[in-house]
Amino acid sequence: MNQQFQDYLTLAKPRISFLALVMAGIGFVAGTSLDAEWPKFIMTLLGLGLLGAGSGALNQYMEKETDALMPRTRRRPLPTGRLLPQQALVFGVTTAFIGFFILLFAANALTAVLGGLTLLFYLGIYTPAKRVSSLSTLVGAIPGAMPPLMGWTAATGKLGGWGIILFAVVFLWQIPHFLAIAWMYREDYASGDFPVLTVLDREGTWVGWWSVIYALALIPISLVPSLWNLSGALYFWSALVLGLAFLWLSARLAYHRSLPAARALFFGSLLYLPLLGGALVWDIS
Amino acid sequence: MVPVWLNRFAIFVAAATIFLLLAGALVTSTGSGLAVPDWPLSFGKFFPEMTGGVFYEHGHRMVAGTVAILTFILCFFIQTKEPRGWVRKLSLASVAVVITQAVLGGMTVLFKLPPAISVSHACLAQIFFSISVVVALSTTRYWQETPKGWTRSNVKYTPLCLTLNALFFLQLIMGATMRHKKAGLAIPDFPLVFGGLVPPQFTFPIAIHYGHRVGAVLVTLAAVLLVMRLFSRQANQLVIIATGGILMVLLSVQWMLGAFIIWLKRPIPLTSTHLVVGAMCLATSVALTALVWRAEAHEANS
Repeated sequence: MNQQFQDYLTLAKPRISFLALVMAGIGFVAGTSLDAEWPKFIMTLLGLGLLGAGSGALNQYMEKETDALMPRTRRRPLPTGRLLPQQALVFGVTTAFIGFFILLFAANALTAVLGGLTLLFYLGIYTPAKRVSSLSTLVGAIPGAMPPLMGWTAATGKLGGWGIILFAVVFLWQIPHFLAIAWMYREDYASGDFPVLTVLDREGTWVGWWSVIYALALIPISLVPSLWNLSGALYFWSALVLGLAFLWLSARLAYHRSLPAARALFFGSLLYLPLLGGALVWDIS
Repeated sequence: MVPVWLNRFAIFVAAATIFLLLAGALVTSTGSGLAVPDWPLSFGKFFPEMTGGVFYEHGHRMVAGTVAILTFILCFFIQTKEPRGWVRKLSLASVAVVITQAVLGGMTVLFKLPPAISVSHACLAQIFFSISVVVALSTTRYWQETPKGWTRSNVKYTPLCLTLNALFFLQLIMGATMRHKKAGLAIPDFPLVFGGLVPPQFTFPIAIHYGHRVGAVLVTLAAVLLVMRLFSRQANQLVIIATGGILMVLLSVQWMLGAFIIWLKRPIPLTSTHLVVGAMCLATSVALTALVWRAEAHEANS
């Protein structure tokens, strides 16, 4: 593949964007049937994808100096000099604007505004806050949880129902997910001088407990749709089993405080969301 | 260096021209072109009662008059403060164009909207806007500083940019013809054309509408290829690649507006915005050309 194309792809953070799009798709399907709305579905995902690509590029533009300090990120296009900062800046702004306008036209104004707010929150608050406090993880979880809500608003034009539930689920899910990553790359974060919890709490006591607390909170929240009669038995049992498994993996990290436990939690978290979303879609359809 | 206030005034004139374009677009979109039957006065007065279509037609005249006066003032100051001959000439050209534009506007009314004159009036408006943008651009501090960092290349970008401008202008001519021939819904579906890729028959409205769609594809491809090339080969030029980025955003907005105009059966706000964004696309393309020409000319002379 052309190196420059690959570099722009790296700027767009495709893995994060992909998961965000999966969740946005689930939010959309929870809101309406795809049969009549598939063009809107595709355009919503396109708009969100471009907005995500833009925010990824602008985030790397803002963090180019710290990315150069961490082994995990120092091979990115900006620290290595394969792309110039202005290329990332213009690429980011352009794709984000195009994504915003696609959402505005193809979905609705509410979704476009939520997209704009997500971008502002991610770049204007979370990215600078990362340098200041470990609480930034909570701040970052807000824009991270927006895609399913935006999928829902694109489908329905209003806030509420599944959109809010999925927002809450993804918000809570992100904390153990991020802490697992932060544990795996704690030395990286330390060399980049990021005050994340895994750097400040070297023993890992708090890291483990916070993972357990959020995984625990995730179980009742993910079961709310069953209480509201929004979903059937398949979703209920899937959410319960997946929630318990996620809790178990978090408890393992709290108990062992080891790299294998963090890795298991990380991969478990990657499976949790698509499986929960799959159960939801299956149940609704 | 040209005073900063003069550059700000030039930017103001360019911005006012966007408003003028919108006012002009609303005249056609609302079908108010003959709401005032006389010219240069309106019903023999300076200020007639602003009811119905008169609001749009006479409003357009008032905005046009304001922009013309602003252009005269800008030209006066540029003649006195600007050391570069080509900028002074460009400013004089903008005055000539705005006068011609006023005469064409008057003829449009007096001859009861003949399509040839109406289309010329619409196209000249786009040229006037592009000139205003280049005058504003050329008086910026950035432009007046020595260009640097242009990567020497076998490819000459100025001709490519000029080709893109020509494609944009052709596209605008077709758009204006569609508008004045009322061919906006001659092909009622989008993205397909009567359910296929080519119309089953070609009447003039269908042909011009189809040409506008094919033109949109061609101009977008040309713009994307040019901007991508500039993006990869002239990455040091932040202003140039940012202008390319703006062009990409405008083009995507223009596509969406075009699609929704068909789907929603030509709502007036969208058709008018489509015209304004089209003018902004052309002006951005012209600005890109001017920036590239400046960099290449400096490179050739150094």
